[in-house]
Amino acid sequence: MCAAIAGYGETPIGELPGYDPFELKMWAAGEAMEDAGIGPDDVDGLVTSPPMGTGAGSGVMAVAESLGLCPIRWGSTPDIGGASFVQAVAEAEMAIERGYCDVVLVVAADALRSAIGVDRVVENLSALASRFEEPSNLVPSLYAHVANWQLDCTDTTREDLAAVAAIDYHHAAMQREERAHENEPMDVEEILAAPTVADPLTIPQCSLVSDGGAALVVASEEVIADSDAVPVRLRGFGAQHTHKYLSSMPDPSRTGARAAGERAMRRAGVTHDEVDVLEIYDCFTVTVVRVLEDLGFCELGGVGDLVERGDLELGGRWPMNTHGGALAGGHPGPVGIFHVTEAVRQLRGEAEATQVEGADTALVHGNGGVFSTQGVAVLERGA
Amino acid sequence: MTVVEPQPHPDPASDLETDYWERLAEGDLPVQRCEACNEVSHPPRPYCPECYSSAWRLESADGAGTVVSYAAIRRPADERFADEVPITSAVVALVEGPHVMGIVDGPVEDVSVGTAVRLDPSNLSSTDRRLVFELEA
Repeated sequence: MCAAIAGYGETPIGELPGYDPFELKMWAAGEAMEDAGIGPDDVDGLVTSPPMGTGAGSGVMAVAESLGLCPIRWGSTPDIGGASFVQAVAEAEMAIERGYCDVVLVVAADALRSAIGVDRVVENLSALASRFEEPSNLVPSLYAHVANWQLDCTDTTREDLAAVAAIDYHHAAMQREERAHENEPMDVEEILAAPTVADPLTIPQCSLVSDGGAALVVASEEVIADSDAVPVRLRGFGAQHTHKYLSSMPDPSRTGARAAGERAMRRAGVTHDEVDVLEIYDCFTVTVVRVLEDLGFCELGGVGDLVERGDLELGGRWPMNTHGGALAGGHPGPVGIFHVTEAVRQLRGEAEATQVEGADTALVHGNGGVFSTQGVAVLERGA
Repeated sequence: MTVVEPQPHPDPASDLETDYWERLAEGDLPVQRCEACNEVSHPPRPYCPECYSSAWRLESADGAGTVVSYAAIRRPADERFADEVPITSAVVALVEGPHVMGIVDGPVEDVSVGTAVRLDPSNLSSTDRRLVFELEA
């Protein structure tokens, strides 16, 4: 038998003034440990990310100490942006399987909105351009480069891009208010008419800047056996990281998601038809479009077909981002934790209003940098 | 809480990079050609990034290329670019092979994937290292 996700926890998401990132991490960690039926003494591994805007002095040990988790036998701070917490599940499972530790807490939470502020977060992310590249780009215009490629070179339309956001907003609006940053739906027309951030990307097509976070407990089979909760197992994982800077992106038509997804699905032994829920990293709408194509859920330029058939909506063939994603559910930094916890909720039958009936297989994806890092995990409901 | 500032252009710690910027300041865009495997790379590194040979030389890029991707910047990364907005940013595939990211002197409406451009070195100096491309007639 093998290690599995034994518990999860989330803070509310949106605006949470008066908390610093360590306090939010502790909040999420407490929820996850309670869910898993364990206490801080049981945790002997930690995978986390430093709060955004803080330097190297805020990595895993600052979090371990602050959360009362020391001593730990395993500690790491993945640095691959939004793919980090997909990788974190695989890393935690590996560490436990090798016997280096028994219970790993995976936690990502930050106070982007209240402690840093929307404007400073956006400017801080200009570090995604290298010193050899044009210095005036911010992250949205870097992604807009690929969006313009998509519009020029494939059949994808501006409406298709906006539809991705509309699906996220629709799912977010179905959540309990505290569970989604945005609580009202938006349709394609409203999304297209919203102010432009970097053409063709309008405000609702760019990820939110949120306070909040979530945590997972990944535990050994022995710990899971003592718990009543349904475990969620990692059946396959694949990653492909192709570049850091946009001018080194080998090919706009083929991100690392193609190789990462093939490997993850092959390891899991699942076909596209067998996937019940999709969690696709949605820092921008174009990210989802490129990744759905590269994962093979549609042809190049074919997202419009998925949208037309309602395939990505609740009730459709592949309900996607049922929590609202980073565009509408919430985005406490480029980490991807909520895409993982939402998949866990789905597979445990705890996804409330957006529960996919009978969900037992989820594909979770994370993207970091400028399409730079791609991680894919296939999760299954355990016995 | 302090926010880490976006990295300014650092004073290069390496002789290789210092040489690169000095050549660029003269209007010459250097690319790295490997004599062992023929790979052409940018930016230059101490070894060929493809085969790690030390047998490489810098050569001056012709300047011609085609647009790979592009975007109109309305909100620039820094106030010092505020007067230039909207800026047409583009990733350009140089004829030698490597991609570079600069700007196109012209409105974004004139640019699409595949547009032919040519580096205009007239702005390049020790204080301006931005790659500006003109539309090829």
